[in-house]
Amino acid sequence: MVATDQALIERVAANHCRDSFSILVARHQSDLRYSLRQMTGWDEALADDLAQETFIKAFQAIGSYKSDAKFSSWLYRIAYNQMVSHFRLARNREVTGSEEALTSATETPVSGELSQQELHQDLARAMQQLPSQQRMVIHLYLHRQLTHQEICTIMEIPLGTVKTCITRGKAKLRELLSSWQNEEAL
Amino acid sequence: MSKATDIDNLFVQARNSEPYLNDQGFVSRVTAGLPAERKVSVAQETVITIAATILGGAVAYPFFPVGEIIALIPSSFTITPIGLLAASGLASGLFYWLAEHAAPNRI
Repeated sequence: MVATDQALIERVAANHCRDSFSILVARHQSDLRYSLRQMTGWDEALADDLAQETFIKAFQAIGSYKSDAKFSSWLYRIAYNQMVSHFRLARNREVTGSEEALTSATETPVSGELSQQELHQDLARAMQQLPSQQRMVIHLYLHRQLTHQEICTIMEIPLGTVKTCITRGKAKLRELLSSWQNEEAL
Repeated sequence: MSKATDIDNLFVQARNSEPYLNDQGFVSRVTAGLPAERKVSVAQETVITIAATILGGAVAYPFFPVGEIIALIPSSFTITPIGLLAASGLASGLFYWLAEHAAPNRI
């Protein structure tokens, strides 16, 4: 029988069982790593580092996890805070990994017929031009299909801010992708 | 992308074609970075710590000069303006340090 997330979490919380936690990591790693790639302009190394830190933080703080939220939502919350901390620390550096990704984004317009890989990478690079809060809201809402309320809880921001981020983020993305299309047409 | 710039459709495409990212040693790297496994649970550790503290206190109590230490506590004290200023400065510095170092550690 396959153990549920909740059963595994209880085992980890009771005696820091590594085997149970490994199963949780294996179950959620793909979704979290993909989301973080979307958040970091498809910087695979940075996204994997942030995902690794997220899981380690989750392990250390597993006692504070409340079962009324989904484990994946709780992971996104930790991941978002990790990402914000990372960009805060990197802010003063001359060129961060994400800024490099951003530079290449402007050099790689979205093509008319996108391969699947290009679609994910170009979308991530377009998202990189949004502020981190807007980026996370857009990803959770449009890609992960979470509700406004779930996003409020994960990011600890008011409902109005979530709605504003969605409206402005979509408008900005639309503008970006249109300009890339125009550049390509020229 | 003509109307393909429609953001909702773009995300639908991305969602439907989201790749499964193979482990490629990721789980092993996470597991290697975890703190050491506990030999006893948190509850057991708390009970042992409290019991050891009570036992230690009980053993030390007869040998502990409680009366003499109480007698050393001054019944009144005065603080000079300079002393008050120094204490305020130290307290402000401590609060500033705590505020600067507390934020990045939140979950």
